[in-house]
Amino acid sequence: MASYEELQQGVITADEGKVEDLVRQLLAAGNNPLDIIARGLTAGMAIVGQKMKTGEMFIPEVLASAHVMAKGMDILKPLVGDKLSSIYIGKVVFGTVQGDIHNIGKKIVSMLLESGGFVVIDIGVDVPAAKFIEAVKREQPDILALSALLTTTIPRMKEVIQALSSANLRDRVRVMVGGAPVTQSFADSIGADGYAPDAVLALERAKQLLD
Amino acid sequence: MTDRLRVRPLTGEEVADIYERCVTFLSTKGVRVDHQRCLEMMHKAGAQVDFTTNQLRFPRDIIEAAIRAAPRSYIFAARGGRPDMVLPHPKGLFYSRTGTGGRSYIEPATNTYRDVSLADVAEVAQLIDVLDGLDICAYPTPRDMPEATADIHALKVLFENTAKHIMLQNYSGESLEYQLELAVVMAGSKEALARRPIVHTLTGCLTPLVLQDVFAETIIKTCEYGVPMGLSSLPSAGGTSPVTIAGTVFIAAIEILTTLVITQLIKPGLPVYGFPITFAIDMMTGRNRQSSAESILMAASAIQFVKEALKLPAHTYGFGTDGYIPDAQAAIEATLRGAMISSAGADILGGAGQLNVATAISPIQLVIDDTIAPVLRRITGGVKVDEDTLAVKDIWDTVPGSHFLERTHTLKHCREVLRTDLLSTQSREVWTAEGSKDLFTRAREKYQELKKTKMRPQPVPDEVRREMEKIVKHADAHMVK
Repeated sequence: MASYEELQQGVITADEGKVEDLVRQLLAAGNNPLDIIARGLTAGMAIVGQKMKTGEMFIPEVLASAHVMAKGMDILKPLVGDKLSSIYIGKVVFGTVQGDIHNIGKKIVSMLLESGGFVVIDIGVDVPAAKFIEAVKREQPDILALSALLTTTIPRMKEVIQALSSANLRDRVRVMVGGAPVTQSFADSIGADGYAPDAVLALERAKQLLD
Repeated sequence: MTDRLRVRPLTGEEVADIYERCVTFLSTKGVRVDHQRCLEMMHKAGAQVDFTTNQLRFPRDIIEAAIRAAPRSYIFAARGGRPDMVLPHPKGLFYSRTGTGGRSYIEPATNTYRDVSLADVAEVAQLIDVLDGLDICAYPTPRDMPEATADIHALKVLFENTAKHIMLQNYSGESLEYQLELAVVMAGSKEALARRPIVHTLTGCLTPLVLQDVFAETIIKTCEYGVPMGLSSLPSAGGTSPVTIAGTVFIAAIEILTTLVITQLIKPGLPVYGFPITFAIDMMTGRNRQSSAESILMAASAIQFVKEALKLPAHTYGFGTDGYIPDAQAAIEATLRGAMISSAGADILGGAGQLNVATAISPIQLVIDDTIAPVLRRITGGVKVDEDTLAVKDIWDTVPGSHFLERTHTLKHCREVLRTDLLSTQSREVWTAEGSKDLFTRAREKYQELKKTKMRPQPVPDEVRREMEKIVKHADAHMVK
């Protein structure tokens, strides 16, 4: 008989076949789909998050677990309907600022945020301030995340924050900034709410910002 | 006799295999070029261009003609009566180059970080100018200047504070035009600049496999001015390139070969070198590392590929650390990296003075790396074996149990023994009496002494200075919004 613990293990070991089988077995045994998500899939992912923090799991392994969790979710999503939003802990709109076409840092952080229970709306690279504002209005995220790799483009982050203020949206969203040239003092100087020096800490900081 | 101590991470067959796979890749799949004019130029030159996907492919004959067209040897010029640097180094050694693009300056007295200012750029340039172990000067990014023209301001300040050859790193195609105009003023004319290039430029790809707009612009402008150019590839293993060493070398090889072919199609004979700058992502934190074991081995392998398969001079970081301050980690990583990269055959060892994965510059680390460079040169220079160096006659004449200190042979060769002023060689008693100072303290004192006694601006004729000011002013007026 399939158990939630087994399902968690399937997520942790990123065993796609096992997770899909167990999800189907648990459904067949009459379990509530929301329970299967909460007590099986996201509970497994929470353990993965812990193991990432302690260095027991590496980023590619965490991403593999997240991918397998998503496979399980694909089976369950049609059955939970509009109750789905209750399983996400927060929403993030994420983009690389104008003039900068670097994608990889944003991608890594996005995937880790998703693995940590966030829903991430990736609005791409080379994103002008106006497009960030549009996305914030449309998606109403908890967090707006700005990425940059170039020393010459991080000043764009400040412009996005100023544009939020001009559009009277600044108090509706927390702003996180990151990327190789970004520092805590830079984040403070432009009035960002959050900064993290690496992807793992970015997830932690994003969770703190929800509190 | 070895010309030079060599480490070859790859076998000759492996180099040939990677090269063949590059040719297959570039002739069948190719790379994306986000620059319409460049694509049109390539199309006209016989490359295969898909204008709907921006994909650029080269048949084998074009690739091989480009490799033949690139000069095997050329010069980097300096000013102020300094000798030209011939690439590759005539003695099989290397030139050193200082860190570029860092935004943070590490205070010598406190090891604290702050933003780089234009005054720091001047100070760093003056320091580099008086450190004989450092050959090529690059600039950190001054944060107190408008971002659009910060690189132009930095170059002007470099010209005013060092006579050494300068590596340009432009932040846009437009700013390169202004930078090259500054160099023309400094060199006297466009022809003089091409004949004795006091600067060289950098292009590259947006890894993986995209030639972005700014890099295409840089290639076209550099070809127009005829100064040498570095062909860079900056893969990040596990991120923008495969996590394996070989896979990352393969990506770097494809990208460097791509820009090599483009440059030689636009301007056959333009002096270029291969510049693989390999990073590796830390799989736990996602942070980039420049001096992990894998990034060092990737760089060494890619250097071997550039030298043996592309027959070009090669450049990569030979210094630099993932650590944050000039400390033991910085010394270990810079030295390990330098030893491996110089032995792998690099013609230029870059990144002197840089810390925190090439985002910070430290005068103290510059002083330390200036000390490491001659040691690396001595070691990679190899061993000379002949009748004289074997001291055959002296050994035959030796009375058993005697000594060599008074021998003519010793007197003749004793100055060949490398001494560095920074590393401890005196007795512990003397060291204690002098205050038990560690390497970092001694480096700091050397820096302070140089600042007091030797570091000063370069003499720049008034009309040259005025002309440069005009160019920078024009750039600010047109580029700063």
